Amino acid sequence: MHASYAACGSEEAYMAFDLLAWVLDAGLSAAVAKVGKRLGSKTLASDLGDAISSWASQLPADAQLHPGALFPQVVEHEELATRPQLQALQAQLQQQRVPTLVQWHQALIEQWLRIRNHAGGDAQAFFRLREEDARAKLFELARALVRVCENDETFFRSAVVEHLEALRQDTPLLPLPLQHTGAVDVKGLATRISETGASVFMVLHDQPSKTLTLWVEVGSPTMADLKFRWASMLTIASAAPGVDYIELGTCNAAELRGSDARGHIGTMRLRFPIAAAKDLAATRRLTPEFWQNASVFIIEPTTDNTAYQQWFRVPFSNLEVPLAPSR
Amino acid sequence: LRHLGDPSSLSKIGGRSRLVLFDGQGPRFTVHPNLFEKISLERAVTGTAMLSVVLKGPGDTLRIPEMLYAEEWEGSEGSAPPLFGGRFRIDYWKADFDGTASELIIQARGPLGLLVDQAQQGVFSGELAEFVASTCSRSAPTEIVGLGTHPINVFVNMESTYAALRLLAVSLGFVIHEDSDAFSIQVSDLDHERQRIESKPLVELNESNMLGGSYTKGAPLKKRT
Repeated sequence: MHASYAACGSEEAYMAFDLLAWVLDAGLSAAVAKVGKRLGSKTLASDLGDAISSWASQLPADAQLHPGALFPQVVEHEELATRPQLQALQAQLQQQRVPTLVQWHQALIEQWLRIRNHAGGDAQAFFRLREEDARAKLFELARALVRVCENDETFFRSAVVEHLEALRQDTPLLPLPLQHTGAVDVKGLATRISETGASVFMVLHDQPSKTLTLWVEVGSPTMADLKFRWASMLTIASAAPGVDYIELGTCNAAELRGSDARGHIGTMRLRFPIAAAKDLAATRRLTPEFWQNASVFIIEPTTDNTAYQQWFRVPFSNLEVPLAPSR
Repeated sequence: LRHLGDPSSLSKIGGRSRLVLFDGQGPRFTVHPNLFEKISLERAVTGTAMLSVVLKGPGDTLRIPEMLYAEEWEGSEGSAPPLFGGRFRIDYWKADFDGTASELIIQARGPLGLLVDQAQQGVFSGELAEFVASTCSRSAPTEIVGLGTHPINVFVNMESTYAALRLLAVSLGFVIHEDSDAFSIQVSDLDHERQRIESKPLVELNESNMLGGSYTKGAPLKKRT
């Protein structure tokens, strides 16, 4: 029996189950795929899980199935190549489209066949049904899943987008640090950081405060893109010598040039201890918890007719806009 | 030096005032208030003083200077603010002559105007005050207060030197602005700036002080999209 199917039907497998994650995380390493635990899409995940449980509870005695046994694990990368129906379902979700009834059905059949072939005599009763009977039962399940998705298509799409963006945050593609000889190589840093797609206006090493500040324009990406770009800059800058803090300043060139010297210039900066940047560079893994290291400051507009201005700290959560609409 | 208009004419606020037009060799014309069709001074969104003048008078062939220097306004009883004093670089001019009359329209900006237009690129290692002084003095005399010993190592690649200085200012805690007369650029740390504000409250202006145009206090907040 295939080792990864040994836990079919266990309570643990069911508790960790998330259908959306099963589709979208397929082909990713186990370290990257976190089976939806980090997401705000728990309501959708539980709605899908409830639909599967309800369907399973109505199966006849000779076709009993613990719901989690149908999706015992995230499909590994090597295996995904042999799963055309799951690939099709995944592609549909990655395009933020609600899968069709046929796509759900075919992916479920493919999964059923896979488990039956690997688990053999140890499989639960449902996997020992005749194939045509199983197909009919799985068609009912596919209909239930489509119904959940279509009940609130906007929310479904938001949950998918959120999940995809969370995966991108976790993708271990952070660049390597730039090594310096002696002093901070501000020009070298600017060159490397510009390769991440950012326009680098200034790289400033303030020696008294041991702070390295990067002023960049990053366009208007999604929050997930922005986080990944920030993380990339931090890892590149993490090997700078004589630095206790790294600051990432974002601004808009046109706004800065045209803004009033006496007021708001549309800038924001995030401050990180160098230790956090070094840890990030060492692991090259970005987790949601990493952002707890960030102190966020914005320019406070002044009401006086002067050039005086000052920074105010705001919570990092102020920057984040939830993707999923409230229900 | 030629005089245009009546030297004995008074400004609306009671003092004698004049514009002195310079070219590369020095002062060329003195313009007296009776020729001022319209004159206004505004603070541009870039923070630089912006002077706009429309002159009308007898026909003449004005040689347009590269620099317009407006002498300090002689306010009545010494209480009026120096509304139109300062040094301005001409950005735009338009002249019409018909033989008997002339009209000259001038728009000019203060010392920061030049820095707004100049790019700033390169690497600098050394004292902050040295960097600021060498950068600003390309445009106007610069007074630096309170930056002390502050070694920096910086790479800059910006279309606007002014914007680069603003980023440095918000990063390191200093301010940069024109002096109130638009003669020079002033740079000071936040402590000195606070002291300056407290010791020399800003002058409140109203329309009766003005010959024309408008004056704005503060700036509308920008809504980021």
